[in-house]
Amino acid sequence: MKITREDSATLEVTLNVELEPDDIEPYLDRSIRRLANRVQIPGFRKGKAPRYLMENYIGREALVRESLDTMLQESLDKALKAEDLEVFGEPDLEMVEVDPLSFKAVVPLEPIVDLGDFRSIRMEPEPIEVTEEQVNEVIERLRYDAAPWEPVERSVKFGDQVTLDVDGFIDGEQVADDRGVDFIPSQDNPNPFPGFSVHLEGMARDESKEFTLPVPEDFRDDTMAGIECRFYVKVLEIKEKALPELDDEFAKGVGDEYETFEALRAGILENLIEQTQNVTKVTFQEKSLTEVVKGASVQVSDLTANREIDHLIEDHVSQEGRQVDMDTYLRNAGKSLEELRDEVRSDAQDRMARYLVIRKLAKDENIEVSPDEIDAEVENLAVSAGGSADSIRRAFSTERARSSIGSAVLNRKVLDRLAEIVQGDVGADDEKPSPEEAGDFAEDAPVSAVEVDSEESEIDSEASTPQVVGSGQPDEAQSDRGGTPQ
Amino acid sequence: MEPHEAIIQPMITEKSTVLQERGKYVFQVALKANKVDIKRAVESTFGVTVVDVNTTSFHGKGKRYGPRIKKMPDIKKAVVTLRRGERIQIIEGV
Repeated sequence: MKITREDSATLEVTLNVELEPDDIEPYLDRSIRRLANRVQIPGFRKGKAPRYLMENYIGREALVRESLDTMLQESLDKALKAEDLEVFGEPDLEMVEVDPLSFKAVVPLEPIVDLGDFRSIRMEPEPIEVTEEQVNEVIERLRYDAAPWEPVERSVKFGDQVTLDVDGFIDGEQVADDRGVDFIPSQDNPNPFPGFSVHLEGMARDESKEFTLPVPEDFRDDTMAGIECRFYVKVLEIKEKALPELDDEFAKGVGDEYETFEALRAGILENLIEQTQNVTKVTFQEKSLTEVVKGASVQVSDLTANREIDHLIEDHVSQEGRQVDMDTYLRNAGKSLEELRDEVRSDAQDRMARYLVIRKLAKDENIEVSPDEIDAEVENLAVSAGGSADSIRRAFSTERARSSIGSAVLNRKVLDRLAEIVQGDVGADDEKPSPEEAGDFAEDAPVSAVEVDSEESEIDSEASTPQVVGSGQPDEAQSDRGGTPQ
Repeated sequence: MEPHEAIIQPMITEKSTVLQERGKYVFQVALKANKVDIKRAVESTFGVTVVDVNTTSFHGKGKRYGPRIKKMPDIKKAVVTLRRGERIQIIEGV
């Protein structure tokens, strides 16, 4: 294997690798064995021909292509090991020639992350506040949910539940024929058409009414939009919510653990406080991270940066739903790919910076996730899933899923730690990284470290728009396995 | 019969490759070639010593192409046994 190395761009290395016959031989052997049972050579049953015949018959180039992927990947790994490079992400591979087999790999190197003076950042979380009104609001909601519908003898008001016979005609054709449907009229209920509810208001029991409504412009079948629809409605029954008394009886109905109304109130208060605490914690961690990212300088290779942009765009596209592919997305947005890339560039840089800062923090603070912790996390998820616990356990038994859980746990631990640091709770001095560790990069790459300065200000200024807590690399599944409890 | 007239081509099949391990080589030979012709031809062409020659003739089958019937060619095959330990490298390929 002949390797030539070029330091092409900042934090990027281009490796030109040429493989010698000895390197290729084992792969050819493998591809022959794989192809043997598929190739029919006259005079032989499948898979029975001697090797030299197959080699001639299939052709060397075809054999090389057959195992090209594994061959390139494995030789690349070897080359990287030989060159002793700290790789960040997947290198870009490009075949140069088949005979002699040679390829070019653009290798992104480990980004340079300088956290800056993040230990001097001091922030306090917002005080937690739960007001009487919030508690009352929850209670009112529970009260409404618990209330049964009771028939009443009066005309229809908004918020009642009415039982209706409805016939609807468009151009003399019957489009609705419902007997005894339950309907809750309200001022802004847009079903079936806006204004339907208004006509019902004031109707008495057993009263019939006839009215006309236009089909709205944004109706799902737009051939019908704007056409008049004639309704014949008969009110069969009117019911209203019979709100229960707020007493101990009501409290027991909400949950067995509440003996008295006061207990229910206290329970709700506790829940609300816990919720607010969680929210506050997350926003506080988020703010702390943003602050650290602001003070940090991050330099990544162009390749990595561009990939992050691509990831982000893919995310955007996939959010649009399954049917939407890249082309339709661009057409809908009325933009070219280049414009879109420019648009998301700063977001991508920000996401990258956050991910790298968390990574670096984890390293500096010696935060790691043990397999036991991952087990515990999976168990948590399984328990919270209840009935499908076993299927959850099975789903997270693969290496990939476990590592994605691991990175989520790591994120959380780092953010927890960061929150402590920012609140001045730094702990003993010996937890601080040793000077050698901190100076790692300065020693490894003294030349490029100088160039950092020119670009870091640019990244800095754009890194101030946060969106997601602990946004990791998209494929690290923080986002798509959203079920991780905080 | 001249040597180049006797041997038409080696037959390389699964069976013939198995036979090669025992020093036997299979050729398609001219229909009119006799065992002596074949022995001389193999010895002079490949520089080996032939111990035994077995021949067999195949009558070409009729093969239908729509309404027509074509006759496949008749073939004569010879299995040539060499002296123990001798090989013919060209046919074995490697």
